[in-house]
Amino acid sequence: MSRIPTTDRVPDDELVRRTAAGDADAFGTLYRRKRPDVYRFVLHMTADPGVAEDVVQDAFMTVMRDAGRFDPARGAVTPWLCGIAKNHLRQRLARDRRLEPLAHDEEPTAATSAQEPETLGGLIRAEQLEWLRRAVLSLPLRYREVVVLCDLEELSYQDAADSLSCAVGTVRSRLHRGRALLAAKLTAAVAGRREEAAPLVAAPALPSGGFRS
Amino acid sequence: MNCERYEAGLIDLARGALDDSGMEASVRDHLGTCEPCAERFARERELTEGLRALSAATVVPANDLAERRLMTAFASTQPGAPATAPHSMAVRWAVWAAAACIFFFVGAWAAVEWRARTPEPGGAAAQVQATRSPAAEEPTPVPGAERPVVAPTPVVAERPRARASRVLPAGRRNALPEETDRLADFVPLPAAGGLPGFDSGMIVRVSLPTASLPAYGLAITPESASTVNADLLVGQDGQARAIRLVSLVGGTRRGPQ
Repeated sequence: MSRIPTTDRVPDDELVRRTAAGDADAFGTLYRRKRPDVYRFVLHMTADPGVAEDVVQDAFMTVMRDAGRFDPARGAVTPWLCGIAKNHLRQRLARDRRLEPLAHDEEPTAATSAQEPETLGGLIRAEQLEWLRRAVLSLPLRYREVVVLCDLEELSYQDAADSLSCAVGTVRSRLHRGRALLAAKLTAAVAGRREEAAPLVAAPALPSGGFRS
Repeated sequence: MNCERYEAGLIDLARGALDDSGMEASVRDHLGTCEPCAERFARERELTEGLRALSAATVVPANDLAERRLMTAFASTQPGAPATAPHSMAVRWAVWAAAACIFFFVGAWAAVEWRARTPEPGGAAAQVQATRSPAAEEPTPVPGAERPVVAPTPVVAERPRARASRVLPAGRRNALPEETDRLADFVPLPAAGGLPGFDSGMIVRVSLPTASLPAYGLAITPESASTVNADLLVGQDGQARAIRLVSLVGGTRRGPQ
C-alpha cells in the first residue's frame, strides 16, 4: 500500500512555507501540484518541450533555495512560480538564439499535436490551433508573456502583474496590444489561405469518368 | 459615439474577465447600437475561444525522473540530511578519493622538491670551501677585473641543486656542449667569504681577461691566452660564490691552483 502524503490538502502557500522549513513531502506535493502550470507557461512561450522541462527544473531548484523569500501578502504561489520560470526563461532565451519564434514553415511540434485528429473537422481545427500557436510564438516577448499568462494560463491581471513584476495597467495594455497583433496575424493568414485556395476553386471540373481516356 | 470608452470593457467581456456588472451592462448596450464594435466583439470572442482551445490541447507529460532528481537534490540541501541516492553517494566518494590522491601526490612532490633544495649541513659553501686553494686566501686584486664580463654566447643557466657538486649532475650536463667533460671543480671566490650560504642559484658562463685570474684565486700559466672562459656559480642573491675554468681560449685548459 503506497503511502499517502499528508500534504495533499495543504494550501499552496503553506506548502511553500513548509518547503522553506525543509519538509520534503511539502516540496514534492508543491512540485506535483504546480509543475503543470509552470510547464504549460514555458511551453507556450517556446513551443519546445525540452526547454520547458529544463526551465521547470531550474524554477523548482530556485524554489528549493528561495522558498523562504515567498511572501503570501505579495501574491499567490502560481504567479510567483511563473515569475521564477519567466526569469529563467529570459536567461535561456538571451543565451540561446535558437529559441526565437519558429518559422512558419516548420512542422507542428508535440506541444499541440499530441491528439491526432480523426475527422476532417478535427483536422481543420488542429490546423487552426497550429496557426494560432505560431501566431502566439511570433509575438514580441513582452506581449507573448501577457497573452500566455492571461489568455492561455488564465491568470488574472493582478496575478500576471505579480508574475511579471509590473503594474496591472501595464498588463492590461500589453494584453490588448498583443491580442490586436494576434488578430492581425490571423487575419493575414486567413487572407493568404484564401488566395492559395482560389485557383483550386476556379479550376475546371474533371470530365465524367475521371482521368480515363 | 465614443467607442474608445468601451474598448477595454469589450475585450474583458470577450475574455470573460469583466467582473464589473455596471460596466458589463454599459458595454452590452453599446454593442447593441454600434455595429463595428459588435463585429470587434465577435472577433475577440473567437480569439478567446481559440486561445482556450489551444491551452486545452496542450499536453503536459509526466516526468518521474525529473521529480526524483529534484527530491534527491532537495534532500541533499537539507543540513545534516544524508544523501539518499546511491548514485550521489558514489559520486561523492569518487570526488573525495580523487581529491585525496591529488593531495597525496602534490604533497609528495613538494617534499621531494624541498629535500632537493635544502642544503645539507656543510653543504654547498662547505664543499666548495673544502676544495679551496690555499693560494686563494689572499687574492691579488687586478685593476679592471673586479667584475667579470658576461659573454653574449654561450650563456648557460641552470638551476643548481642541493650542493655545488650537484650543480651539473651527470645526467643534466647536456646543457653544456662538448667541453662539459673537461670542467674543473668550482673554487670559491675570495669575495664570497662573507656572503650567506649558497641555497640556490645558477651557473653563468663568462669570458674573463686572463690577467684577472689571480683576483679569482686562479693562476696564470705561461701558455695562457688573453681571455679565458669560466663558469660562475651565482647564488640566490645574485652574488657569485665560486668559479671554475672551462677552457682557455687559444691555449690549454687550466684548472685552479
